[in-house]
Amino acid sequence: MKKSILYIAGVLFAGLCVVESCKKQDGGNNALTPIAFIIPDGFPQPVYTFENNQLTEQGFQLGKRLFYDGRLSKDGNFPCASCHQQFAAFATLDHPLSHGFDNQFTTRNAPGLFNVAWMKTLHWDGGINHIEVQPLAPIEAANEMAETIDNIITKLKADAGYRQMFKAAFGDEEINSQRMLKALAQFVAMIVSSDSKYDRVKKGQATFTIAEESGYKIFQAKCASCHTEPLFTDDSFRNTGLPVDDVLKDYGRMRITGDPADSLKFKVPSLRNIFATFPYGHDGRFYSVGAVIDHYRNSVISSATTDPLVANKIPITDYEKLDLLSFLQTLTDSTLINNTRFAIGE
Amino acid sequence: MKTVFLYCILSCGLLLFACQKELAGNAGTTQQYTVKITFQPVINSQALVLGETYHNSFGEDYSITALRFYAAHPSLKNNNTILAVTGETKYRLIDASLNNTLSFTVTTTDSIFNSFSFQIGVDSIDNVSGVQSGDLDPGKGMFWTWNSGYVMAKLEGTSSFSGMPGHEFTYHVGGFSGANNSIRSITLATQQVKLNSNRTTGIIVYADINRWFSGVHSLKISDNAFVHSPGELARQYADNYAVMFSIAEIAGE
Repeated sequence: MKKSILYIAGVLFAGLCVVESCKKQDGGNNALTPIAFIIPDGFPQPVYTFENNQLTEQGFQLGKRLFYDGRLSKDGNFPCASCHQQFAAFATLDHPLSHGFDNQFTTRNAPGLFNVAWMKTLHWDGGINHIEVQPLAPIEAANEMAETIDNIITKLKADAGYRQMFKAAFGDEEINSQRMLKALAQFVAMIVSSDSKYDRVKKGQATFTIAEESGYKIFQAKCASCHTEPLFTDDSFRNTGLPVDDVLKDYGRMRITGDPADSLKFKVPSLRNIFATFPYGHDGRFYSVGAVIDHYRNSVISSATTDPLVANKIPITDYEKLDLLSFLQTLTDSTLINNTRFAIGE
Repeated sequence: MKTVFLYCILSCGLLLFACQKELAGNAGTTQQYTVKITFQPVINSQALVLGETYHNSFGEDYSITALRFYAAHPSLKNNNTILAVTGETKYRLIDASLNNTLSFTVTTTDSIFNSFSFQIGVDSIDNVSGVQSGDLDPGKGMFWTWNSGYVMAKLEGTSSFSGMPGHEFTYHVGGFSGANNSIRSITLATQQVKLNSNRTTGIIVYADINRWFSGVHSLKISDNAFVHSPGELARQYADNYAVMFSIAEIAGE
């Protein structure tokens, strides 16, 4: 009896050996620490599911370091974080257009980076089809980070700290563009905004003031077709009747599709954190939320591609506008803005 | 007790071996035939020399500074039977300036074929699935950063007929979906070839640059000095270079 127990134990041990010996080598002693991507209550399934990019603490930390590292830009001055500031919900505060290499402006307003994992496409014109390849655009744009992938890889390889972090995240010290971009995707996709007052009201943990409640009803009646809850965007492209800037001459989505029906269409931005991300619009032309509301009340230009939902302007009274502003303030996610997990220091 | 311990050690050792990668084939049961495919950029059957001046069928002078394209899914067929091919079968970035990119080998277990097929371009799925590596590394300069997707083929050079700065022309052909699809499949027929298991058979495929301008559509440099986005013009260049290939030679090495 005793012998057979030992025998069984031996077989089990052998089985364990099989499992161990068949495991992919992960660089020995530094085991990966998986972390979970939590879908907030009421949110749909995300578009990005970390397929072929296992989400780990090591990958996230590497992505964070890259996000804040100026060496991803040509002169060292323009990390991702230069245009995506945490205190502005990862948009650029107080800049219609952000600053790039050699005293140049970007051509569009930097969007806040949060809930990116739910986006089917990225950029105002939807030109980017996957979160992992998005950083290539600002990195290589001459008026943004103005750097090449090869130069960045060379710089990172020369840094022992990075070699260690790549090894920790991917099993060995090899540094290549795929690993760098996957790590960045881990960091950026983890930036989720779901803890505003609005969210707490939805969970029954807070209550709207009378003005906020009234504003919410107005929002649902007049804004929610495009700024759909809970992400506060339907991720579509629409012409909201803005006149073309005669310097930028930006026709939006048409640049990508080549289809005149897409002329002047831009991605519907989320209204989450709207009070943290001013100014507004694809070129940042609106300096206040009130000015945006006034556009929809008074200034929409109706053309062949203007969205039917706004082509005849949106009737909003002054009284409704004030309540609407009260409600929109409940979309500020202070938890995200102050979360040290996404901050450079930690 | 001692036997159990020994058993454990022994079984662990055996199992470690069991997890090793399979060694190449079961020699003796199936014949392996090796085929080496070489893409040779040419102009009028003469090997392309970068920087040299040539003329297209419209009499326009030009010289080439870069030619690169993705060759994908090479396959051999005997009539309608596909020969099972292993080796570098997915993507190969052919770069006229790098000789070691022009050739690659595949192996097959069948010995007779009468056509060679491949694709120019990167499969749709690999344009939309995030960051790739190897020859698809975006650092290779064949990935559009502002409008996600691969440049399937590019031709760059200068011509006095180009109205662009420096009289340059740059044809970057891409687009992977719907009406903008620039992926092209190419089949090159040959007389029946019998492979020999004792030696590598080489297939030399010419890629005639002049066909970029006049393969199917007439595309003068003076009319179009650049294409940098998916669309009708890109498709026309893809149609043109899809017919630039021909088998120049099949020989044992």
